[in-house]
Amino acid sequence: MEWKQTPSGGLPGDLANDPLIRRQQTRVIYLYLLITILLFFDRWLNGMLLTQLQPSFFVNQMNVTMWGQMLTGIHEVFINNPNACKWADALLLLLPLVYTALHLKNKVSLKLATGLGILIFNFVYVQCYVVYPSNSIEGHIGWLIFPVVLLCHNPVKFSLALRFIRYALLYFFVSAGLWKIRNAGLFYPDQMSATILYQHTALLVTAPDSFLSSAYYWLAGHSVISYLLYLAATLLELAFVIGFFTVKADKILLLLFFVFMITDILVMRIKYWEISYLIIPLFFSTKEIFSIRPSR
Amino acid sequence: MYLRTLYKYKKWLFWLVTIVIVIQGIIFLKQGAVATPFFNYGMYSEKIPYLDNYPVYKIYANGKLLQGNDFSIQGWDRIYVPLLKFEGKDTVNAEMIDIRNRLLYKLRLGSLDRKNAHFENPDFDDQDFYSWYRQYLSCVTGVSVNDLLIVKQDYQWNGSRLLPGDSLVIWPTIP
Repeated sequence: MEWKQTPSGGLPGDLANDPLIRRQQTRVIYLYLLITILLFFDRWLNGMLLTQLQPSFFVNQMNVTMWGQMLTGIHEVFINNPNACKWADALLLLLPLVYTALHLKNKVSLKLATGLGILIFNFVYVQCYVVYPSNSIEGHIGWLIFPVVLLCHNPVKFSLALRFIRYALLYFFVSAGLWKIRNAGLFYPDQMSATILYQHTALLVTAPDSFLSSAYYWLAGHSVISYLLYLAATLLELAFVIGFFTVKADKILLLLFFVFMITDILVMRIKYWEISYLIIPLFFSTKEIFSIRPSR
Repeated sequence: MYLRTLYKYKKWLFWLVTIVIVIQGIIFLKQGAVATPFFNYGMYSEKIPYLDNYPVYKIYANGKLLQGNDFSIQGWDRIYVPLLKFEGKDTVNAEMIDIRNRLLYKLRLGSLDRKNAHFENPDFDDQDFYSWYRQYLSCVTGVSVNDLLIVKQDYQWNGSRLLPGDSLVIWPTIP
């Protein structure tokens, strides 16, 4: 929408100081901070912080940007170096806290500089973190791209950046569905049964009589039911395509996101919460901050 | 619509986002190496057939087999993945170094391959790994691991269960 007045009655050029817009911007940043804290503690509780992983060796990956970073040797800094790991983990939490404080104090220049710091730091941290045996880099896409929003103070740019993140979320899911068609996994009836065996071999062998193993054995032995789960997951992913045409279904997409995450944990034992940053726009897509359009 | 809004607002933003979309499109179509933050999200999309053998690393700490259901999802990954990566020779990556060097030559950056030292784990053999792994397991499990035994065993799927096959002691190695 193009406002003749700001939502709170000010002039269009005064959007940055409009109390409603400012409040919604602050809520986005609070949500960003909350997700950061939750992910940090989730890592801590599960021993997945850099400090707890105690990196002692690394593995190469087919990633051109990562190769560029590795040429600097920065990933070797954390090998057998607990102090460097502790500093990196601390910054992971501290930088967003500082950013939020600067936003509340309305220190615009310092805030934007911190936002840039978060963007660069996350980029380096994530690319180091995943070369040690930890997690896949794909799940860290939220860590990598959400800080783009933190580079924007101007409400118009802030709004455009939020919409960009929303499109990234939609792409994440829709492309995951398209890959299952392109690589033909969707057309292989035994896909999910074989995947369950492949994914849980160590669990099935080391704890064959546990409840989980019984459930996975049952799924592995019932190809049709397993395949229906795979089909449902693919359809769920493809359903996100609706978001490219309307924001009206965003609350449903939010629900689908949580259904996907929980099912992924139960069936595949994969936690994908790291991408949660990408769902922040879904909470705001019907709010004024999301519908700001630049005046001509 | 979004791109039109960007174009009206700031042309450089429009071109920036357009370039992002084009790069992501190329990464999607090429289906090979990725470039952070441009990834492919094709997890478990390739046809996964039943295997003849399902190899498993069994970890015995102080004579007790570590069981997957005794740990959280990530707790178990934390135990199992380093072993899997090390024994899978992902630490060596000779093939990947070759691919990367060919790319560097194509980009006329051949001299950079001298920096290969940064891509290789220096002096990290079985003895180093298992010495580190024993201490690491002590931290993860909260129990001092004095005795570590790693057995690699093949399992076969009979349609309802995984049945044990050949096994091999990986660590400690027999001199």
